[in-house]
Amino acid sequence: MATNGQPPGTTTVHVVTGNLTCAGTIVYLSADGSWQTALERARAFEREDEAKAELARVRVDEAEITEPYVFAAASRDGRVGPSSAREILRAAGPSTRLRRPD
Amino acid sequence: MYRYDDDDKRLVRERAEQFRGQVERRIAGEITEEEFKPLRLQNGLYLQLHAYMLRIAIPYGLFSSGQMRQLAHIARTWDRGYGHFTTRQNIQFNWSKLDEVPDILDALAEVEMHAIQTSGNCIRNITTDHLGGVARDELEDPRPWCELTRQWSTFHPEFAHLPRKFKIAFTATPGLDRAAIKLHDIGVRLVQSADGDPGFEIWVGGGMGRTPIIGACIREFLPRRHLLSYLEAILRVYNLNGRRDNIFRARIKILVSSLGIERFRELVEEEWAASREDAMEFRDDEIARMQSFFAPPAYPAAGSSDELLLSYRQAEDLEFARFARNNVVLHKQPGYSAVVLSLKSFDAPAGDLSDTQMDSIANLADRFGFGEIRATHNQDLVLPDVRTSDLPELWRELQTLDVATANAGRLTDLICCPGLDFCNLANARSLPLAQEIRQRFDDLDYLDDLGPLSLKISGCINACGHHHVGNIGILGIDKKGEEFYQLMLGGSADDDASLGRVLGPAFSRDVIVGAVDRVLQTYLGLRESDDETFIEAYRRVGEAPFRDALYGQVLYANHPPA
Amino acid sequence: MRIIRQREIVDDGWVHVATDEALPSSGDVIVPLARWQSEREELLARTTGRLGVRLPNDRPLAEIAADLPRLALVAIEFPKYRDGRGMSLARLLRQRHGFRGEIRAVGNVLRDQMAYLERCGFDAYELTPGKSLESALLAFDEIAVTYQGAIEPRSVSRLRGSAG
Repeated sequence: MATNGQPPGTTTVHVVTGNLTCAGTIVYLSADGSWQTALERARAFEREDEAKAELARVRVDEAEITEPYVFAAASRDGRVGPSSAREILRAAGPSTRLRRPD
Repeated sequence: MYRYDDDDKRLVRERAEQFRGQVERRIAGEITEEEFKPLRLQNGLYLQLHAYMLRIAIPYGLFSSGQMRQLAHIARTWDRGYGHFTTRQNIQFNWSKLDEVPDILDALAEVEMHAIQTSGNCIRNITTDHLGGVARDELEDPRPWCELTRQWSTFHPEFAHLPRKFKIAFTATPGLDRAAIKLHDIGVRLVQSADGDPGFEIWVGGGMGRTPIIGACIREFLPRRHLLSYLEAILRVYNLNGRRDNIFRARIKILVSSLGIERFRELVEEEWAASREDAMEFRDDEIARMQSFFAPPAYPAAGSSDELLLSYRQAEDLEFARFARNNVVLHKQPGYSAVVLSLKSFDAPAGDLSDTQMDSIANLADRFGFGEIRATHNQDLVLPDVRTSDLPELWRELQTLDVATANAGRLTDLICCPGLDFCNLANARSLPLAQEIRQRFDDLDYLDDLGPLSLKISGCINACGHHHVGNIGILGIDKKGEEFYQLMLGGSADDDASLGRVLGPAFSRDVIVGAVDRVLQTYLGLRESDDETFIEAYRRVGEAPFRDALYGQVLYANHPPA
Repeated sequence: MRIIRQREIVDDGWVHVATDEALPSSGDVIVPLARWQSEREELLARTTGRLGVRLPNDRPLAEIAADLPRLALVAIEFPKYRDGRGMSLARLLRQRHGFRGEIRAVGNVLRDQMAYLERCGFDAYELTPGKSLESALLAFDEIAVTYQGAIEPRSVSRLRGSAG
């Protein structure tokens, strides 16, 4: 799970995320304002303060999202991907084998 | 075991109904997440890394085959077919949906279970020795006291919003501690006075987390009828004086250590003197009534000596003999044994069981016992009442379920928190590391040669994996988004509790297991005899040889021992 | 102002008077602890209206204990609803000091802590603005079974078994 030494052309972007209040599912705010389960479809804010402003709006307006926050992600060729151990695991699911694979 | 009466049943049903209303108000937007969070936490519902996680209490680790089957049913119906047993004698389901949790609570209420106060800043699940009632070395069965304390702490109105969580553990064995009472907010040991009167020795202010502290004895002898009034006095002093301005300074251990145990004791004794008349005091018949729930079962005669078990331990089938040595404990009742089921097999996350394993273990508890199961603070299970002559047959059944690994008390019987794979607080993963360690050290002869050894892994400083008190402790940390692991040595959660020390810089994920190996090699090289355990050897020689082995002379020269 | 008192929604006649506000010549007033301590004689000299003191939850009861016979109401502040100090204070007021006046929860007071508060000795609640009092009333009966006597210490039948 190496995260250092990002390839050239990678830029840092900011993503708004949270969990669906009812189902608990991880979701990301997309460019059209909808919530998507795939990180690749997340809106990539170039500036952190823009993402934080959107976060503040979500906190007030969107009761169906629980515990939203902003994290830094990597963008390369227009594709958004995780850049920390935490967000890699959030995006991909637990790395351990479950007793019963689903 | 304790059986619910009509009031107990009504309470858990009403609680499920109450939570259903709270969930409806949350989904309807009538209450904010900030308001809802303490409510869901006091029902054991966390928002974890991927989803909601529901933590269900197994009070003092004791549950029945019927309850186990219901847990299997919950795993199948509302989760992903498995559950995770924790160090605090709870079980967790990792994939709950908020609007289905009230249904799960209803299902739990049907079998006299609940998730009450398994999280939040309140008195948590009461824990005890997993061998309570069957241990040959105990003074008295601690479980009636645990149940009395469970009832007293359940929805105690004064202590519903403490500065921080509060954990109480009981033990009843002189000179031994299988419940780590000195690492709890309150630890209670059943003792006898010099005159032979039964009572309690009370410890306070222990805990792990980011500021690990071994508790102090606040009272050497408390007559048993006063247990609850004395607990109330401690809790009240804490509730009024514990810090609420800083979550990391809010546990009772910080209050006790900042005041000093003498001053804290004065405050508690003063409060107790003023309030004990108002508080609850047990009469002997009430104690006897509670004890009657935990009376030993009517054991059919099953031989009268330990010779059969001793012969199994020398059996020709070496694997069975090893199982009988490592995973089978001598029982209070002659002819019976308590059997540890290892939830640390080589290819599954530590502490996990599938629904089908749960069902099968429930059946075994009925067939080889009286339908009772224990969850241990070491994240294993125990079948407490097995006829010793049934051990060969039980062992074969356990093997088919992958819970017969003969590693109880060995290196790979490790404690491990869920870590970054599941936990919202974690900084690094712990489950894959535990798995790699179990795969690398899978030679049971080697593990036996290493002898009794505790390895404990936490994925963050909150120390759910008890790394501070592992003979070998591993703490996951985050360095700029990458997982690193600190190694510490010398901890113990036993009666001679001690805190481990970090020996040097953290290791990256790819070398940490090698570092553990080097520690083990160092121990084997310096122990005085095969009988000198790891912790004994470490205490004799100190950290220097281990630090040399891990970091070499160069580093050692730059960082001389303190 | 509408509050809950003894499990009923009522129009409350008490007036909160801040430290820098003029004291009304008549009527029931609740003053902050600091004002009570600095203007105790003037307050006691009022000929009409009852007196109440608003107690921050980090102050010891010793500061008002001797004056309790002169007070008809003690309001205990909840800066956050998950700050449980007020629960111990109320229980001490009732049990140790025998206070029989009104104990009122003020501040961040929400429906879901009220059943606990009542069992600790509170009998009046000023809910956080915007919260439904009608909904809050339902909370008292959500869980009828109690294991502790709380402020009725000798009625601990649950932990006393059937003989109790």
